Amino acid sequence: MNRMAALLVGAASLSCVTAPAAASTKFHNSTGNTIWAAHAFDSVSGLGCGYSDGCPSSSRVKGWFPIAPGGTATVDSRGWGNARHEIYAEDGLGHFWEGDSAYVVPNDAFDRCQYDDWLYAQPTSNYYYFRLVRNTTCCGIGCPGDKTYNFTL
Amino acid sequence: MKIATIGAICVSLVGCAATGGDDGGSSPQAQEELDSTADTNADVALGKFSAAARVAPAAVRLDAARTPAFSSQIQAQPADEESVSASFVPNRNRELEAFRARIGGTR
Repeated sequence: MNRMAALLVGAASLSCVTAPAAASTKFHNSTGNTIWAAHAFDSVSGLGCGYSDGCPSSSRVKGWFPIAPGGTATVDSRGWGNARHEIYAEDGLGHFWEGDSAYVVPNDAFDRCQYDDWLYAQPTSNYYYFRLVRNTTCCGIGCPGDKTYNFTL
Repeated sequence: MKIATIGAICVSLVGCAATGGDDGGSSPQAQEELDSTADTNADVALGKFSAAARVAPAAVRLDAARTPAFSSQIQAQPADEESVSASFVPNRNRELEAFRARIGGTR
């Protein structure tokens, strides 16, 4: 009986430990118009901590994410808390979600390091000013894995 | 020793339920064991949690359907969500031109 009880305890504990931890950064369009969004992030990476964004000396920048009214796009599926984040979006009707951080990006889809020559070589590339929404990074217990940014007018 | 082991089972079950695990499938044997240790704190905690889990969703649905004010209250933004508001600049031609080009199929 004692052995069986011990097995039950072990199984119960294991099921708690092995439950997959969700981690993602999402953009949700809370407006009535389709928006086009871009995402820049700079992650922390170390032993058992965070992840590499593949851009050692700059941020990674990705776009464009077309998001229909009420829709949600998962722009990254790794730990939100492990990175700094900047966002940009517009709806073509005069609404801009922007800030002070300049990034050069083209009209075409992109997923590059911030200073990648490819970005600057595109004929449609231009400066866009991203909004800083997270300026710290963290790792381990207590570091949040998920975040959803709601774009509102 | 036996009571201590059963107490550990209860604590484990409570821990799983609190993190979203299945709290509705205890076997008759397990239930009997839980009943036999009704004087432990773990049992009391499990009983309270189970009762709350059964009652709360129905109550929320009912109130949300009846009172819009309460509905907006229960939809208050959780910690893992953040609103970002737009600025309205109707005459910024460059971005709008780029946007139209993007819609036109360059994406």
